[in-house]
Amino acid sequence: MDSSINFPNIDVPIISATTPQDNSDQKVLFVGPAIPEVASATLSQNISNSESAIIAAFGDGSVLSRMLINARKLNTICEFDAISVEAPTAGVASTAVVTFTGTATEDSTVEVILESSVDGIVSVTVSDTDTETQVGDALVAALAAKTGIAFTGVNAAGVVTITYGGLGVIGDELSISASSNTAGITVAVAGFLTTSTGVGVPDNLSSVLDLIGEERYQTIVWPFASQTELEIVADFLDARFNATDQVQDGVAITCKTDTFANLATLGNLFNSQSAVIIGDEFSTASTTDESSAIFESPWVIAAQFGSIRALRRQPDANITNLVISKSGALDTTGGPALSSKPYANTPFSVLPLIGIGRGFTRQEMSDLNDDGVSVLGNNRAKTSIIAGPIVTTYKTDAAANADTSFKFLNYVDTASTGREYVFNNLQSTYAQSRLTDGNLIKGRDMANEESIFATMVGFYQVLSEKDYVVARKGEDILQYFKENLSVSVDLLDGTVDIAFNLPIVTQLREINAPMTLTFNIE
Amino acid sequence: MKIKLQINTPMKDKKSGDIIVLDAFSTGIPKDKFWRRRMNDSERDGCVELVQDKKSDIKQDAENKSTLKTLK
Repeated sequence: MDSSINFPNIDVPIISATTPQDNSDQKVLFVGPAIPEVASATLSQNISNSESAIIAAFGDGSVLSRMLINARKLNTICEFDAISVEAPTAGVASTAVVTFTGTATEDSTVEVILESSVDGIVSVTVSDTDTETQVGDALVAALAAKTGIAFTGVNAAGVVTITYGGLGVIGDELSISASSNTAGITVAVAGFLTTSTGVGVPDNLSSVLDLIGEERYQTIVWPFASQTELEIVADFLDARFNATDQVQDGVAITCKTDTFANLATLGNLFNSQSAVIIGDEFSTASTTDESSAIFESPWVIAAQFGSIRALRRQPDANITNLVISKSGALDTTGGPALSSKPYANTPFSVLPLIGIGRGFTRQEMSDLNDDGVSVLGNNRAKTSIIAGPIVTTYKTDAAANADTSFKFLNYVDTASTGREYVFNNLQSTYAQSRLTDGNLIKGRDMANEESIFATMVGFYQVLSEKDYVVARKGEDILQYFKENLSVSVDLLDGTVDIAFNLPIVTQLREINAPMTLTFNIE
Repeated sequence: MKIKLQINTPMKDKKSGDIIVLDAFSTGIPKDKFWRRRMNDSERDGCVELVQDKKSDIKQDAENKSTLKTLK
């Protein structure tokens, strides 16, 4: 027995410092059908970066696989989860028809593009004297061998009926074009977009989001863009926008291929700060081309935007290739500060360019923005697809008064980022705090109106600095914040009521600079 | 010449059922690019339709057919 004496007894425990709480990491949820469709909806978490693993899980060429693979091309950092939706009861797959006519008079090729001009090019070798039936057979064989997309063909004397691998009306959104490089062979298509042969939507889609429970996803990529189906996710997220006692808000991203008028109608059916609709034009239907302006399936476009949005807002992510930051080197790294950086001009490096004479005009884009539809387009050099202003479908307040508070996704993101910071840090700062209307006692965890007021001012200062760039910085604005900040405490209930205005940073959208010519200067 | 278009899908502050009068080329195609493109789209979405002048239905019908043919 050791009988040493320690006097006085000294106890110096180490206690963690009070540190600011960061906003949570970005999580993206992808919802869509696998191939084959599953019998009951299933949630898969932490989707791999491996293309082969994604295909093994959800099937080659399925909506879900193509969304995830294309999203992973841009973002290998953020957590991606996925829900495979149920098969539609009595669902029917969409079909298109490619018709070959004539007999080849040379060795050459014919080309059919399905769904994507990046992943969906099917080239068929044609030999001199091949008949239309032989060319059709060759296309069927090429489709069977093609990976990355999911189509099968049946040939009847050069008329090839192409069937999408998934069931339901979702296949009616697919593009198709065909061209013959072979003398003697002509080709024509009757595509998915005009024939619309798909039948059915996933069973129990309205309850599919129950699978995520209380989990928060800042982005949900949702490929079902018709009114009834889009309402499901918009309503789900609207209910989360101001959830009680927690931060759960998120934004649904969808994309729809349609005409200007139909997209305008769709946008005006919604009034949600939680729903972003990207519109891709379908206005031309020729005998060889029935495709969207961006020749890619709409769910891949939505997935890529969802992926980019998450990466921009993910702390420490390298986003050098996703932003233009001529005078802001800090903007090449993702994080909450990117919430206020405009989405406009964000490049989509893996989307195909829009051909000459196709796509919406500038006036149409502007009109669609007013209708709550966002549009992507070529950059001026025609080297990449870039985003225009990204808008939500929110247009009016609950009393139907015009309200632009959440018109732009940047506004929603900026407000959300600021709210999350305040929420997290109030929760952290006052996790086990006494409340008094008297003086604070040093060494005791307590709060009163003055200390809470000072804490809120401190939060504002953080939100207006470089790590957040949510609130506007400056003495005058800080003074405004203080003047509009009220804190009151109710000791009986232990309740603190804080009311404050957050002057957020916005985006430069328009420069008006009339230039007057002058000749003789006196 | 002038043509009349009936709006079937609300757009650009126009309600469904509105009838607008547009300047058109002699071929009956609207000079305004926006409405020209909507007439193209209408084959797919029916967003607008040409309004026939009741006083000269036969003549207008011929003009309309000619216009649609030109657009195609």
